[in-house]
Amino acid sequence: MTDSIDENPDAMRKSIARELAALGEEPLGEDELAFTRASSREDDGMLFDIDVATVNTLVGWASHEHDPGDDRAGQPDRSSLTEFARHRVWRDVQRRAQHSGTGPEHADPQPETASNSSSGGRGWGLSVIGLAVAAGVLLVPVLSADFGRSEPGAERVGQLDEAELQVLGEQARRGLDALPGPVGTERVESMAESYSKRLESRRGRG
Amino acid sequence: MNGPRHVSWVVARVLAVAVVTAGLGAGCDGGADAPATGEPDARLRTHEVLPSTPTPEGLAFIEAVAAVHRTADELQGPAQAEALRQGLTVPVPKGLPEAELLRLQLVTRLAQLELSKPGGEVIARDLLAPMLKPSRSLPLDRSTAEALVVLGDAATKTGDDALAAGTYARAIRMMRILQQELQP
Repeated sequence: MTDSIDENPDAMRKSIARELAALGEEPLGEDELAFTRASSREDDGMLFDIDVATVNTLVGWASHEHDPGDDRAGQPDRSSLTEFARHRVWRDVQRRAQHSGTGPEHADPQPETASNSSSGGRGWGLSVIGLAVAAGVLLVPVLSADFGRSEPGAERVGQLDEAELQVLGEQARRGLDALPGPVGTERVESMAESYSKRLESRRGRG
Repeated sequence: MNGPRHVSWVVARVLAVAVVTAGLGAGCDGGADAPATGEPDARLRTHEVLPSTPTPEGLAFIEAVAAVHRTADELQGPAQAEALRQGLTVPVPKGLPEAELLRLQLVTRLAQLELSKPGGEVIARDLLAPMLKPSRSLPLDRSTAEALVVLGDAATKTGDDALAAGTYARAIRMMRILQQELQP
């Protein structure tokens, strides 16, 4: 996708449709086209370097996340992306959010309709949120409720739906796995050993 | 361990939650009113557990707890749970702040065990929730993060989404702090 979609939107739309058809995919919706336009502008001519499989998966997730009528029965498998792919998406989301000057905490939490989401910034914002949620980067609390308007001292996250809660739980468990050091019985034994050494050292000084 | 790249990735993700939770309020003074029912509460107050002056009594306690864990490792089901409960009855000597972590580890393991049983999620939640109340200061340690995650899992299973969301967010924030401390 090296041509700008802003310069020749119809040709670009047809080109994308052809590529997707060759892959057996449906044509892009208005949200997705808006995202592509925004991506093109944000990159200032740079190639949009997230691979096709990643984008397709994430767009699928984002659509599900924002479709209130969705029963989630056909939700794409989150495990279909490698961790590296998710990492790339997250880095991309971070970079774009910084370039756009609108941090994710300023995103509009209200779902958009197809008619207004194609109008530039809002469509891009929605896409960022969708990607963020899909990539499991835990911006989900931003999506809903009134966080940021909470009273001082009362840190709260917004109401999460079931899928968002799953993502949050998964991130918490993965974070735990990433913490270094012994766990369980081994950790307690390590504490006992360390304490014993300190006691011996103290006795030696005494 | 999965290597520094993986850790960096986790930190990046955890940072996102930290931004969320840290941006929610001006402070963590614990003086705030409890949130209304049904609203996630992601407040996190922490304190460091500094190494105490070692004593023979302190060592005896830690070794007793380690023995409890070893015994529990060799048991299953009710016998394992009973062993862990017995560990909680070991008297805590004075001047041993580490005991807070050790008892939390025992309770967490007991809660994990309950969580694995059908219908045990309520017991798991009731075991951990009082120790991890948002208004309480929690020891800055991976044991606390583990306990928070288990409480989040228990809350999810009981359908208490608000408790689950708030607890997971607190766990992730705790992990972020721990990760930052580990950074060179």
